[in-house]
This record gives sequence, C-alpha cells and structure tokens, in this order.
Amino acid sequence: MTRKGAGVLRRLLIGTRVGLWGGVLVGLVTMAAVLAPLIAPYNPYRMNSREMLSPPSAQHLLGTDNYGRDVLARVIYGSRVSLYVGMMSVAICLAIGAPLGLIAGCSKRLDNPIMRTMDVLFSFPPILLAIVIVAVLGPGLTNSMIAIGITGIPRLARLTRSQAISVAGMDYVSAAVAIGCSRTRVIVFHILRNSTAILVVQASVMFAGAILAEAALSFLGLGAQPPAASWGAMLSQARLFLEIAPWLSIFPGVAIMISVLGFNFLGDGLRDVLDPTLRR
Amino acid sequence: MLAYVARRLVWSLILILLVASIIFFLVRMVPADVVDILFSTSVGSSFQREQLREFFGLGRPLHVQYGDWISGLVRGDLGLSFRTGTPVLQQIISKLPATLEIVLLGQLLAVLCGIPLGIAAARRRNTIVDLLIQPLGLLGLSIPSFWLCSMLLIILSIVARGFNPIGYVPFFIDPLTNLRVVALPAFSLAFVSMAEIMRVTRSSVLEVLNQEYIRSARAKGLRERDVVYKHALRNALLPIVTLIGVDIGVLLGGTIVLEEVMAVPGVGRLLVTAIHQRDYPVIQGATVVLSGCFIAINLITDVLYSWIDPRIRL
Repeated sequence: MTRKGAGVLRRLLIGTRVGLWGGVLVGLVTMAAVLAPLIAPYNPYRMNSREMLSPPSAQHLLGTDNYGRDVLARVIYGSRVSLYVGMMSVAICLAIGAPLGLIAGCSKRLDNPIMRTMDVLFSFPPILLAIVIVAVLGPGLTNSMIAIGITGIPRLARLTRSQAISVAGMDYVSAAVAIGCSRTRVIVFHILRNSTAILVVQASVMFAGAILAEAALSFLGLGAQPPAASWGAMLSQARLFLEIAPWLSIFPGVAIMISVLGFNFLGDGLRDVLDPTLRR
Repeated sequence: MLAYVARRLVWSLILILLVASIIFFLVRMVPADVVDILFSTSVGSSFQREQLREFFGLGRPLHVQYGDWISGLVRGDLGLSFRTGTPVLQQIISKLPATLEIVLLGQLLAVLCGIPLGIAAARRRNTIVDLLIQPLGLLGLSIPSFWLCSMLLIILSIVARGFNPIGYVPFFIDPLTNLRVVALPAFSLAFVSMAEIMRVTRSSVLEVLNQEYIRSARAKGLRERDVVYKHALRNALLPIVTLIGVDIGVLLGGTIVLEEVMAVPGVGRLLVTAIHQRDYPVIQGATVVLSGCFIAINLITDVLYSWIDPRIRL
C-alpha cells in the first residue's frame, strides 16, 4: 500500500467515528467470508432430515432450515456471495462508467452522445433494469453481477463527468496544458487522478447498493440459484415458513443489514477524509 | 418557461420510444421463448412449435415485429398477452393503481417524516438529536425494504393475532382493507426513502444556514422558526426535490419485490410472472409503463425545479 493510502486509512479509522464503525463492520464480514470454512460450524449444504426447521439452540445457534441445513453456516458462507457480487459489479461499473464519464467531461464532441445514452439507461427504474437484464442473460449469480454493474453505470458516468469538468477548470490543468502535456496525459494523470477521491467514495456506496440489489434479485429467484448460500435466496425460501420458522427470515436479513451498513459507514467516513470541502 | 417545458416534453417522449425499443430487442434475446416454456412440461413436435410461433407472430421478420410494436405503442395499443390473450394495456391498467398507491403513499410518508427530521438534525447539529438521527438515516439506507416488510409482518402477527394483511382490494371498494394491505409495503418503502431525504435535507439546510442572507434574516430579528422554514428551507429545497424525483424511480423498483412479499397484484408482480413465462408483450408493456411513470416524474421534477429556482430556466 502506498504511503498516501496508508495515511488515508489511518485517518479513516482513527479520525472519523463512522469510518471506524464502517471498518469494523466491513472487517467482520470480510473475515467471515475469508475464514468461512474454518469458522462455520457445519457444512452449509449438508442436509439433515432429522433436524428440519429446528429453532435456534446450542447445537444450531441460528436454527436450521427446511432441509435441516445449519442457518449460521449458511449465513457465514453467504457473506462470500455478497462480497463477490459487490466487488464484481462495482468493478464492472467502474470499468465502464468512469471512462465514459471522463470522456464525456473532456470531449465536447462526445459529451452529448454519451450523456444522452446514459439518460436512456437512467430512465429505467434501477431494479427494473437489473431484472430485465437478468431475464435476458438468464438467472444466476454471474448474470446478476453484470446486471447490477450495468445498472450503476449511468449514475457513475454522470458523477465522473461533473467531477472531470470541475477539475478541468482548475489552474493546474491549464498549467499542464501550457507546458505541453498531451491530451491523454492531462486526462489520465491530472483529471482522473484528481477525481479518484470521489470515485472511491462512490464505489463504497455502490458496494452497499450492490449487496442490496443482489438480495432483491435472489429474492425474486433471478439471482443465486439453490442450493447456493446467498442471503437473498435464503430470504426467498424463508418466505414459505415466515410464521412457523421466523429465524429463517431474521438472520440473513440482519447479515445483509450489517454488511450494507458497514459499506455505507465506510463511504461516509471516506467522504469526510478524502473530501475536506464537505467536512463539517 | 413554456419553450423549456415543451422541449423537455419532447425529449421525454423520445426517451419512452427509446426505452420501448431497447426492451423490445432485449426481450427477444432471452434464450428460451414462450413456446419453449409452454412445451417445457409436454412434448411437442417441431411442427406444432412452429405453428405456435406463427400464431404468436414470432415467426415474422424482426423489423416487422418491431414496427408493429412501436406503431401500436404510439396508438396506445400494447398488444395481446401470450398467456391470457387479453390486451396488455387493460391488464396493466387494472394493476397500476395498487403499484402507484404503494409508491406514492410511501413517498408521501417519507417526505412528511424525512424533511422535518433532516431540519431538526441540521438545526441541532452535533447535539444528541443529530447524533440519534444520523445513524437512523444510515440504517434506513441499509435495510432491504422487502426484509423490513417481512419483519413487520412477523411482529404484527405476534402483537395483533389474526392480523392478516393479505388480499388486496381497491381503495374505493373497501378503504379499510385496502389500507391494511398497503400500509406495510408503503411504510417499508418509506423508511428507505425517508432516510435519504433526511440526509439530503440535513446537509442542504446546513449549507444554506451558513449563507449571508440567513445572517441578515437573523440580524433583523426574525424568529428562528421563520428563519429556518421561510428562508433556509426554501433555498435548500432544490436538491431535496431532485432527490424525491429520483427516489420515486427507486421506489417503483422496490415495489416489484414488495408486491411479491405481500402478494399485492401490482404491475411489478405482473412483470415478474411475465418474465418467468416469457410473455413478451406483457414484459414490454409493464417495463414501458413503469419507466414511463419514472420519466414523467422526472419531467415534473425538472419543471418544478425551474419553477422553484427561476435561474435554472434555460
């Protein structure tokens, strides 16, 4: 990690209260995902017909589901799905949305065509667009990641564009142009580099949104397919047992809430650290 | 002003046509079509399959189907459902009230709670009020609304035995039953949207409170309430109005999932069922109508925007 990155991290975790909380929650979820095989008490896919729908107890801290699978193990393994989906969809969104926004902000000729295309994507309600894309690509986790990533592109492109425009007006950019930097160099080394702060903050917020979107898609049966241990898919199956086995609905939801809250806290903290103009 | 509204109106209509075109081609890229789904449980000869495709008009060249769809759309004809054979527009119109009711009721609740809470947090910045309200805002952004709805359902079924908010009835037939069914999903959506409105109100009001004209308002001895509500809020309203417009899109998406939870027969549920059945005309129609609502809301927001702040009229 660069020295600057370490400095930001230190200020984030020590300097801001929300940043610290975000770090703790995200750290918790990441640990669960990485250490899942070590900390999960049971195999999340092992069915046990003798222990179907048993309520939380000493053997099964969060109870078992309708196939007798341990809910705690499935919740722990579910963090892998959520983090994976979050990471991939944010990556897709950044890889396409940021360059588009950057180009639109720096090129007068391409600004209109790109941003009008974004307007068209923006006129679909967000989840609806994801649902339709998944319907086209077919249900499944990979396709939900692509769908969630695409859904985020217009928002990110708009944000990058407005940031690029405001950075392009700075004196140091004029200075770079004046000393004869090439266009590409100005865009990559001056404009993009000075837009990273806002992109990092947005990535964190998008990560939170991606986890929520994956849960919604899986809940509708369009995301992770059984027997995958995904929080959304678990909630979807739990619906049938809402009254007789409420624990099936409670814990995956709490897990979603904790991880989304973590990334939202982190986003707020990062904004405080990276964007001093917004600090109050 | 009129020219601005006219220009925005034309662009909105173009957007709807573009959305309709995108959805048309997207739907036709779906791997298995309606005939495959219909025959998934029974064997049919390839001749039968072809005949059925012919019957649904799927055998025709793509550009002919596309022309039919767009010209129908312009005339307000969304075609016939593959599954029920009834006009899609009629199906959607019968389901739209439930969806709109949930979204609008939710957004109304969100505005009524979010703005005052946001103002309270801004006025009492860094006090216990602010410190309590802020995490509430982040919590709202972090709870999946469909999960919140299920949790409320569990709690209510324990607290009030016999509470069974299933079975949607139109408002004008039985208002009480209607509200009982709609209240939970509307509240669940409201909680999410309220959090966002609250956060934006807080930061926007805070920004305005630092302005010089607020200082002069205070200096001339206005009561604090007048300063905040008449001078600050009015100038802080722009980002809030934008957010309310954008949020309605999020809520329109959110009801799709909530309608599944509460078994409310809305457009979202119609759409999800149609996707599973590959009922192209219904998928196309529902998407266009939902996006159309969103585009219309955005149009209204933009017009409101220029009405609130005359400087924006371009």
